[in-house]
Parts: sequence; structure tokens; C-alpha cells
Amino acid sequence: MSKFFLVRFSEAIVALWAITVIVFALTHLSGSPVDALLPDDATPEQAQMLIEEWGLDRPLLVQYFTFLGNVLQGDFGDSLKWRGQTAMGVVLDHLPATLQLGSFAVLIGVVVAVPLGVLAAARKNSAIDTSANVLALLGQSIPNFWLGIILVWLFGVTLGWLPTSGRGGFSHMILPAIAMSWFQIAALTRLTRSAMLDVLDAEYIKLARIKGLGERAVVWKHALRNAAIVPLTYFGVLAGSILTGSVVIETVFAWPGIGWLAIEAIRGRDYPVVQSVVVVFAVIYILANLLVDLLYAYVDPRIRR
Amino acid sequence: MTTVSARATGLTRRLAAGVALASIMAAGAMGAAEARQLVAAVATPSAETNRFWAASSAWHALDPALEGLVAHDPVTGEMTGDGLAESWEHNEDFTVWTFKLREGVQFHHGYGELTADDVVHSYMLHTREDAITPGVEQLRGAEVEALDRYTVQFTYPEPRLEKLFLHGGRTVMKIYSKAQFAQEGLEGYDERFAGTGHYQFVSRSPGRIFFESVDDHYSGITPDFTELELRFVDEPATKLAMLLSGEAQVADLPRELMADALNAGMDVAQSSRATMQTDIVFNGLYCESGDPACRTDLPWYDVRIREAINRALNREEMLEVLFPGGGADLLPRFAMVEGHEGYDPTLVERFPDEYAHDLDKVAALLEEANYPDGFADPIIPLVLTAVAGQPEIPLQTELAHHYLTAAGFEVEIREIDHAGVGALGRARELYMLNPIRNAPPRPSEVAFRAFYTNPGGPYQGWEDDWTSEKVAAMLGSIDLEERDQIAREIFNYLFEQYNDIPLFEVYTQVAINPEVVAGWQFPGVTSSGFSHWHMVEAVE
Repeated sequence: MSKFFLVRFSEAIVALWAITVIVFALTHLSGSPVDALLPDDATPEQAQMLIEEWGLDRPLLVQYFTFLGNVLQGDFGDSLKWRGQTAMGVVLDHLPATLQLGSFAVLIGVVVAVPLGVLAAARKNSAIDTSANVLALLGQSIPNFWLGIILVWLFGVTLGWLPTSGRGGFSHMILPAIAMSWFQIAALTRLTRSAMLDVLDAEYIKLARIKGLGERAVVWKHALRNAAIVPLTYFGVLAGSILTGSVVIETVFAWPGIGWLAIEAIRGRDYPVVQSVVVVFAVIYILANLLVDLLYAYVDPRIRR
Repeated sequence: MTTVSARATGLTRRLAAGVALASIMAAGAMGAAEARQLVAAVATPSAETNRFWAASSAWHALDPALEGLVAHDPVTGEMTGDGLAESWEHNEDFTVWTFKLREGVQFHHGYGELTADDVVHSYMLHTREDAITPGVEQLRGAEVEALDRYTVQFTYPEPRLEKLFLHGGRTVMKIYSKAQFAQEGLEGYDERFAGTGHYQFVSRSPGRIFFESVDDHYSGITPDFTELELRFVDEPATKLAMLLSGEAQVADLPRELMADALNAGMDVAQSSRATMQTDIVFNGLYCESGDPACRTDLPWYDVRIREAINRALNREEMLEVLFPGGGADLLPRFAMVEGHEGYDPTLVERFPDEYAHDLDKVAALLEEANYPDGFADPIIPLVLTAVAGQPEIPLQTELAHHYLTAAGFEVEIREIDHAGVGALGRARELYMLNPIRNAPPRPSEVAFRAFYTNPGGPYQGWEDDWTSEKVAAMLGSIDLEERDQIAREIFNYLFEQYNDIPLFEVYTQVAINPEVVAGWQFPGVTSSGFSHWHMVEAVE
């Protein structure tokens, strides 16, 4: 198990390093922050002064290794848009909002999708199964930004039941979390359903039934325990898509998390913040996948070999 | 007797309790009536910082709390002595400007009275090396001295006729407290800066800024709303939803959503003056003598092509499509503003004829110029970009594409982000037609510097010997009549050269909830258009 962990951990480190190269290259390919930050009437001298101050006149390789060295110390430099704050400080200010919303969205996804998938499989071809399939189809075909706007108008404006946007109490989380988890509910429902269908056909399940075990115990205890491995592997993807989904959903709902921050930083060519956001996204994504790999290996010993 | 007395005492107690309860309820009701909150849903600004000097463009979200030296009348927009500076004067050659500060102005949060030392300190802050506010180059270069407690003097090595513009609505310099800086440094400003506005800064959290009203402001005006929250929202539909659901009472909606707001019972408040001029620039005409960047093969190097392009556009139709709810007019000459130097009413009269939509004339001009056959590359590249504070730009570009194509031009839309346009401009490689705005409309001298004589400037591309010499002559003169005459000549020349495509002058409009907000008088003198938050009037 420890060898398996070491291999996976090494892969994660290499992935992180590759991400630093990609994010550095992409942000520099997109143009100079000087162009975004200087006013329309700025003189060439002003531009040159900023270029020198921010070290943008140095060779790219030098800039990259300086960046990498600083990143290893957690220093992404000062934000160019949120002046007076460090880039990582800005990200950390916004991170709790995303984690809060993302966790709630995952919770909604699991609470809705897993039972729905199990019921759909246990009652194959029933009304529940058909409903689950329709829900899955809608979930995977409706864009979440569109759904977000519809939810805002229906529940925020027309019915007036929930706040339209912003971060506040629990009620503020409901609409964005639903919009964010919508696609995941669909995906997770289908995965759970298909995994359950496989397991319910297995010999040991038939044996359990022959032995006289109740259907509830067969489905929810024996079948689900074995079928859960498949959806479990999906959690890594789920964590990633929750983060990337946050970029759109947080903008629609004016939810001040790192997704919203990413958009604002890109718009303002705030390199340090963009780099911080991407690296934080990457770390969360990689850690989630690492955790899933380890759990998977723990649950299914064949994986370790 | 005892019984009566006891009853009386009981009655008195009940009465007293009742009176007390009524008083508490009344006080509570009064308190509730007094605590009025205003939430404004506005577009996310390009910078978010308490350091005003570190923001490059329309960073007016601090305006409720921070003031410049010179105030503006909320109706006329004229500069007045009602603000921090109650009067000012300059010497004969405009090199020395002296401001007399109002006495008794208090900084928020107990940082004491405003003095000339605060102005000197603020000047030092706003001219630091990292200062990037628009116009900062015009602010720099002064020796600033506190002559006495309430008098401050700026001395420049050369005339600065437009000094007041830097301290008015455009504001290159806000006034911060020196006492706060001495005690807490920049970190103190970052945490909770002290200003002198009608509202004081409370806090800033991601996507939000909170202010509360100042009770004893030097102006004698107390805002109707005791609490003000600016909430940054990018999605226009979300802003409209906030307004209609009552979560916000003010929203800066794009024009295409304004009709929905009106249909839903909302109202519109509009700036009393035009906040910006819009224009499409014939860029890449870097054609001062000997400039290798000058490309004479560009189709729009030929004045006939420039005239044809101008005449191909149907501005009236564009106006109706882009601003269906009004709040915009046709613009006869970019950078020319009534009341500013060089304003020439004859150009306004000539405009409907000489810039009229006329496809026959366009065809004749193209034939005369031998377009497209006479050009190696007849393509007219139109930049499609998003400009903060001007959401109609992409549609405006598409409309221009439509009209030009219909008139026989070979047009291509080039989608480039605004910063990318600036990068090409700074590299002097912007051989395209790009949108630009003048917000707030600058004094003529400032506009000439920014738009027509700034080699390496990002967004303008008209450089020729005649214009440069004339602008230099204007800048070198302190004779107001002579300057006015030169500016008039420049505007006439540019008008006749069809050097750009003037489009519209636009007023700032904002949607308000009429159940809460009775009105908002603001002049439109800032880059964003918004100011005078203390003038937002609550419904009684």
C-alpha cells in the first residue's frame, strides 16, 4: 500500500509541476498585464516603468524559475488588481465561499443521486427508473448557467422564496448549489444505476435472496456496498467539475468565490491571482483524485497490485 | 382609602408601563425608519483596492467616502466651491495654483480636521512610482507646499491650464488623512480608510463595499439612506433580478435590459450631462514625417475612404438600436464639448449634411478612390471588443460591420480583448478600426494630448504633422483666446479630414426602484458616470 501511495504521490507532484509550466506559459501568452492595468492615456514611459517594476522585461525562463521558487514558498506575488493584498491572500479570502458552496453542492448531488440511482436499478423499467433517466438526460443537456438564471427568476423574482444572488445565510446557497449539482446528479445517478444493475445480477446477490434476506437489506446493504466502488471513483471528477463549474455559477449568482475571482483576475490580467487560482484548483483536484485512488485501493485490493 | 390608593397606584403603574412600552415601540419604529439601507448592484470594477492611486480606470466605488479637492454641482456639473476647496486661484501663466481649503472639515473615524498637510500628503501618495490613475502624468511634476493650515499651493515648471479637471469629477487625486497614515501606514488605509465624503467606509468583503452615512457632514447634507452597500455583479440578468426582487434598489443595467426593468415598474435616473462620447478610430495612421510605422497602403489612409466609411453608417438607426430607451444623442465631433476650448457650433450645423448616411455618395467616393481594386489589401478590419462601462460596443461593431458591408466595403471583424487592443496600439501595430470612448468628456487640451498626439498611446492612431504642430502651439500658449482659436482650427481640420467616426454622446442611466428611491440627481462628471451618492433620494 505504501508503494502504491508513493507512486501516486509522485505522479501528483509531477502533475503539479506540469501545471505550473502550463499556467505560467498560458498567462504570458495571453499578453502583458501592463496593457490591462494602465489607463488609456498612459505614456510609453509609464508602461516601461511598470514592466521593469514587475520584472516583465527579464527572459521568460528567468521569470519562470523566479515564479517557481516563489511558488514553492507559497508566494505568488502581490495582486495587480486587488492592490495592497498578496495574490494568495486574495485567493484565500475567496476560497471559503467556494468550498462552502461546493461542499453543499456535492452533498445535494450525493443525497439525491445515490438513492435515485439505487431505486432506479432496483425497480428497473418502473416509473422511478424512467423518471431517473429523464432527470439524468435533462441534467446532462441543460447548461448550468441557463439553469442558474431560470432558478433565479423562478425562485428569486417570481416566487420570492429565495435570494437571487450574493453570499449570505443558508438560503443564499440553495439556488447556486442546485445549479452547480444539477449535472452531477445526472452523472452520478446514471453511474450508480448502472453499477447497481451489474451487482444486482451477481450470483452472491441471488444467493442472498435465496437465503431469504429481505429485499431492502439485499439492495441497500449488500448490493450498494459493492456497487459504491464505481461512483466512488467518480468523486475525483466530481470535485474537479464542482470547481470548474463554480466559475460559471459564481458569476451568475454573484457568489464571491474563487470561480468568480478567476474570471475577474483573467479580465484584469492579474497574473499572480490567475496563477494562484489555477494552482489552488489543481491542488484540490489532484488531492481529491489522490484520495479517491487511495480509497479505491483500500476498498479493492486488486488495484494495489 | 388604602384600596383606592392601591388601585390608583396599580393604574398609574399600568399607565406608566403602557407609556413606557409605547415609547419603546415608537423609538423602535423611529429607529427602523431612520435606518434605511440602499443596495446598488453595479458592474465589477477593474480594480478593487482602498488605494485610489493604484487603480487605472473608473474606480469610483470609493467615491461615497473619498473626495477630490473640487466639487461639482449635481445639476449643472459645473465646478463649485462647495467641496473641500472653497476657492482657488492661479497666477498669470497658470504655473501656480493655490487652493483655499474649507475650515472645519472632519475626517471620518476621528482622524481630525482636514488641513493643507493632508493635501500635500495625498499628492505624494498619488504621484508615487506605482501610481497608475488616468491623468497622473498631468498631476506629477509639482512642488506642493502648505502655505498655512488651510492653504495649499501647487507650482509647476510649465503652465497647467487644466489643473482643475484633475481635481474634479475625473479626480486623479483623492484626499486621504495624513494623521491616519502616520498612525497606521498604508495598512490602515487597506483596513479602513478615512475620507471626508457624505458616507464613511465601513468594510469591504469579496464583492461588496459597505458605507454608512455621516451625520454632521460639513456640507450640512445628511443622506436619506443611512447605509449604502455597493454589490459587484457581472451578470446583467442577475442585476435585474436583484432589482425586481427588492434585494437591490439601484442597478446599472445595460440598455437592452432597461426596457424590462421599466416594464416591471422600475424607473430610470439619468445623469444631467453626457457622461461619455463614443467613436470608432481609424487606427494605424502613424503618419508624422519620417515615421516608418506609417502605412500609406491602408485603405483608410485615403480621406475619400474615410469619408465613405463615415457616410456608410446610418447613425440614426444605430442610435435607435443601441439606445432604445433614449439617453444618447448623435455626436458631431469626437472630443469637442460645448463649453470647452475650441467648441465650434458650425460643425454641429455641418454634421448632418457632411456625415449623412448617403449610399450614392459612398459609391461615388469608392469609385473615385478605386476601392477595392486599387488596394493591395482592401480589407477593413473592425475590432470587436468589450469595454468596461460600455456594454453596447460589441453590438455597435456588428452594426458597423453590417452597414459597411452593405455599402460595398470588404470588412472583417477581429475579436480582441480590450487590453490586447492596447498592446497592439502601444506597439504601434494597430492597423484596424477600433472603438474608443471619451469619459468623462475631457477638456480639449487633455483630449488632444490623449487622442491625437500621444505616439505609442494605446487606442488612438491619428498622428500627423499638422495636428501635432497645432496641438503643440496650443499647449505652448496661455492666451485663452489664442488657444480657443487653435482648438477650433484643430476640430475643423479633424472634421474635414474625417479622421475618425464620431458616433454618440451617452448619458449614464441607472435603474431604480421607485418604491424606495424617489430620484437621484447626478451630473455625469466621472468616468463611470456615477457620483453624488448622497443625493439618492428616499421615498418618504
